[in-house]
Amino acid sequence: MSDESVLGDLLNRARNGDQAARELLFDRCRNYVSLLARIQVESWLQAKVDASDLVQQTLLEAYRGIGDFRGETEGEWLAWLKQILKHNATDFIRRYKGTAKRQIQRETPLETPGHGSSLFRYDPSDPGDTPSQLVLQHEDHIELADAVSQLADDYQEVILLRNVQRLSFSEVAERMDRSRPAVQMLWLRALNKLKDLLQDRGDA
Amino acid sequence: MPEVPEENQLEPADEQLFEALDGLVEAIHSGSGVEETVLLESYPELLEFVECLERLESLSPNGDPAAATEENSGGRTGTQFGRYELCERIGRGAMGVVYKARQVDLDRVVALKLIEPGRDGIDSNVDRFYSEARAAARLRHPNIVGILEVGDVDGQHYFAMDYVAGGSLAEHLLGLEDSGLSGSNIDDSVIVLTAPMGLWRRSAGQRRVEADRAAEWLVEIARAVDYLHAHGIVHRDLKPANVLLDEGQRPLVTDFGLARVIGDAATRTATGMIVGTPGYMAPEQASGENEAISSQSDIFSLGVILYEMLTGRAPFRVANPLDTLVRVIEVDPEPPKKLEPWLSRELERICLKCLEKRPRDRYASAAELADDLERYLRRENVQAHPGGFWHRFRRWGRRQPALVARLAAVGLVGGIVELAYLIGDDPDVGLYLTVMSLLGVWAVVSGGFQSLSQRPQFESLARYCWSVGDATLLTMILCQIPESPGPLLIAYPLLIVTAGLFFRVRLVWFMTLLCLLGYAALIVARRFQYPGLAEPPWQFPVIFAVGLAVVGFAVAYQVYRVRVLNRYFRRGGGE
Repeated sequence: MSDESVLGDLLNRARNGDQAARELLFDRCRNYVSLLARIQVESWLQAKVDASDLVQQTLLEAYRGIGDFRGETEGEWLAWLKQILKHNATDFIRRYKGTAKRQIQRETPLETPGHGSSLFRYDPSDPGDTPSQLVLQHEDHIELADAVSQLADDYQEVILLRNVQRLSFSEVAERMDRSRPAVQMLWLRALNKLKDLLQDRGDA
Repeated sequence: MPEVPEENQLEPADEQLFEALDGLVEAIHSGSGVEETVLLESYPELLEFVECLERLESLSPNGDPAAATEENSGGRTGTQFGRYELCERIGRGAMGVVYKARQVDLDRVVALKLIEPGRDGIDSNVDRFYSEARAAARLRHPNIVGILEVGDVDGQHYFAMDYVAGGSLAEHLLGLEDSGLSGSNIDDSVIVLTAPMGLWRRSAGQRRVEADRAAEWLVEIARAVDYLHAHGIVHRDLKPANVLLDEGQRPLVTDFGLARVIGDAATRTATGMIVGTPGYMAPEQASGENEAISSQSDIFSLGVILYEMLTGRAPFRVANPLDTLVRVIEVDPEPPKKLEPWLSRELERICLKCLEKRPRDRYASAAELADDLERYLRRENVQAHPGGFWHRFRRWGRRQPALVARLAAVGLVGGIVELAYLIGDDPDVGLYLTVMSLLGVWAVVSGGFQSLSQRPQFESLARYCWSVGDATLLTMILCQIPESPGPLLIAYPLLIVTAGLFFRVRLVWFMTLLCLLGYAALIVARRFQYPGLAEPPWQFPVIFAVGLAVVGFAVAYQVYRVRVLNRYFRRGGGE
């Protein structure tokens, strides 16, 4: 049975008030939310930040508000989580930077989901209307986040800086306070490890 | 791995891999599919990394194509675009953004699709894009959305279409049309992906359309499609999202003709790409036989739309991409009547005739389909006939391949045993009865597991139990035979090979293990049962066991390879 159907199944049961399924569902999504939170916050603040408050807050709101979730599919569910995260991330970043400096360097701040939950029914990953890559990414995202969370800390950091935030190796070296060759080697090993982890999961 | 001091340089061997990987990451970041392909060809070892890297890409805040579109084009509402005033964004897709816009000089409202610059290689294929668009712009039919104009403003290509006020059929099916969010009145039709993998599994809560109404709509849609065919245009991407419903609930087909140009442009970057939407494309489209795509392929898609309207779900619903691939190409969908018992048999036949795997078994033209639907609506006899026994049997067989394979094998063996019993001089009645009843049990057990595996939550469990059943029954039968089983042992490797058809590495290993256990049990049991028999030299059974393991390894490896390729192709289109 694939992860996708497990997730979909959990989602259904959780929405119908199955407490155990709800716990499991959030368990499955925790790594994903943590990773997204870290990426969002770190790419805005350009520094290593502990985003666990943000993750906590997001999961809590989602947990309490699961009754408001009106979508059907796994994709809609993840999009919903993402929206709540985005909303909270804006506050988090604002607080982090201090109210005096409300303007963040970049022009477009993270948008807040203004239209309420009806927006989530209109998830871009709606069946049939969108590229299948988007559709396929639901289970991938969770799987990827799980795999990343299994990596050692410095492996995680080098991959997020280089691949996700797309910094150059000089910048990565600066941020991680190591030499450039060392960072490059670290990156190569980290990718090797991540690739193996993902392959193991893929065959499971 | 030994710990290397931090300041160490890369080893020379690693150096090369690093350079290649770094190049690959750069190529992915810049969205250069060509460069990516070149790199992959020169460094095959990168293949393993591609999926991992591209998945990481999807996490990137700058890499999310949806987010990028949002930022680049979202804020243009209210601005001027050439002769148009952008009023409201009404949709977004892989190709670009659709606005409701007012054409200032003619003071009319149109739907304006802005093709994202640099997307899908349009830039290098402008001439064909324009010539196809011009051809499409000449078409007028009450059930198609007309193309009014194509052009570019400062290098941004666009085309203007009739504005249709209602939502799409897809939204109607989802029950969204009243939500005020019926935004994507025109959704992007073109989906470029490398393999027909991710068929969409429709959520069960989807709405159905009342049967006669569905038939009426499909008549209109089919007539429009026939009109397109008459003008040499194969739509290639018919799906509910490409059927708009206007205020009077009249269906209009949109986004025809252009799909191919854009698809072709993208095909140049990677071979084996397929244009279309996975859940709605015909098998010949899904298997990448581009030259086989014809108007018949559109008829298949019409059948999928009809199926979905009638039953509320898309006919090919599975989660695993490999199973999906197999399903589109080989497996027939559940008959609609099984899901909706009230459905008329005639309508079901019409629907299934559209969904025939071989193009020549479908309706010869969209007009014929429309005629037959009208016959149904007048309650006359439809032309789609249920097909002969053999045809129906094949269809059933395609839906249950695992069961059919077992029943065929069991039946054949049973037949041979029966024959031997009939013509034999001094048949052993007891043995005959035991073997026959074991074969019977096997057939019944297979049927049981088959029906268990139809339930998604037991699918995987059923396969494993089924394997146990197979190996056990085979061993039991072989135990009954007083002579040395000799050539009959071929059944063990056969079981392993068949297990490979499910494309699960673990299942293959599991079956191999079962076969080894079964074989060991067989040898032990025979030694107790027939102590007097001459034993073969000890090394023969060992060699046979080793052979089984090797067969298992080879099959598992094949499956693994297919899975790797699958992952690669699945990712390949996702720039």
